Amino acid sequence: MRADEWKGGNATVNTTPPTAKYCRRYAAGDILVKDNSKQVTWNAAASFYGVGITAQTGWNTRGRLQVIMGSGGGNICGTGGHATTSSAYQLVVKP
Amino acid sequence: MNRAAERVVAVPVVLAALLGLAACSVSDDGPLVGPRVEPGEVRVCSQAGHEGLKYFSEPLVSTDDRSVQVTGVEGPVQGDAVISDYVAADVEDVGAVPASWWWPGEVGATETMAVMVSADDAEIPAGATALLVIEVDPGTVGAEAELDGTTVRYEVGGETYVEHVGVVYALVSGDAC
Repeated sequence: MRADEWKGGNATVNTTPPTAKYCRRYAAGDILVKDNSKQVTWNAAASFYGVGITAQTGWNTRGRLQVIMGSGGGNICGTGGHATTSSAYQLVVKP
Repeated sequence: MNRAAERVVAVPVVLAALLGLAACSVSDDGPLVGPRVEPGEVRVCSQAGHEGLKYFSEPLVSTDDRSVQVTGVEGPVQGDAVISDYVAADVEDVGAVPASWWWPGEVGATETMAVMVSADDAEIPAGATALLVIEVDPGTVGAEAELDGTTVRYEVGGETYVEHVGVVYALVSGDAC
């Protein structure tokens, strides 16, 4: 995941992964990319194994989210729909 | 040809063209709902280099109280891969079916593969969630391939619709997706 703009500052926040029930399993080495997501605002958009990557605003319509599955693969879950859909909203990666 | 004669010819031609466009226009806002993302906005890549066939699957939700008759799937392919399209018409638990898998070699998709039929003639029951299944035969082990979006053509109650699935499916080497 790479930011396209640096807001400055430094903050540490505790986050709880959102409830994401629309899960699908991806194989080891699979890559999911959501790019220029016109229908998604990346606010607290991604959590990986319970660790929030960004809990602040700053991801915008130019954002690019890339998930690369490690060995064994895993589930990518959306809060509003499956990960590939426009209604996924927030994504959570689970083992 | 004088101007009056030109008008006499031009008006029917324009009308015919408009009528033709109306007859050919097919709604892309029908009751079969896929990911509904912009073309190329979402990419799913798997690693090339395995033997066998690669499958990608995408949920399609029927929101109509009538059955949906899928009549075909098409999309542009890059590479030498052979693409085949299938539909698993009624999947109770989409989350139990992997988003992608190799066959043979991975578990979890056996039930789906047992019930999927050619996308050229698949009937989705009213209100069911189906899976569009894309089969990629890379031909050569390690070959890369890309399916740059697909269009599902279907009929409901005598009306024809299309559903554009903008997700790109690809076989890649490394993390370049």
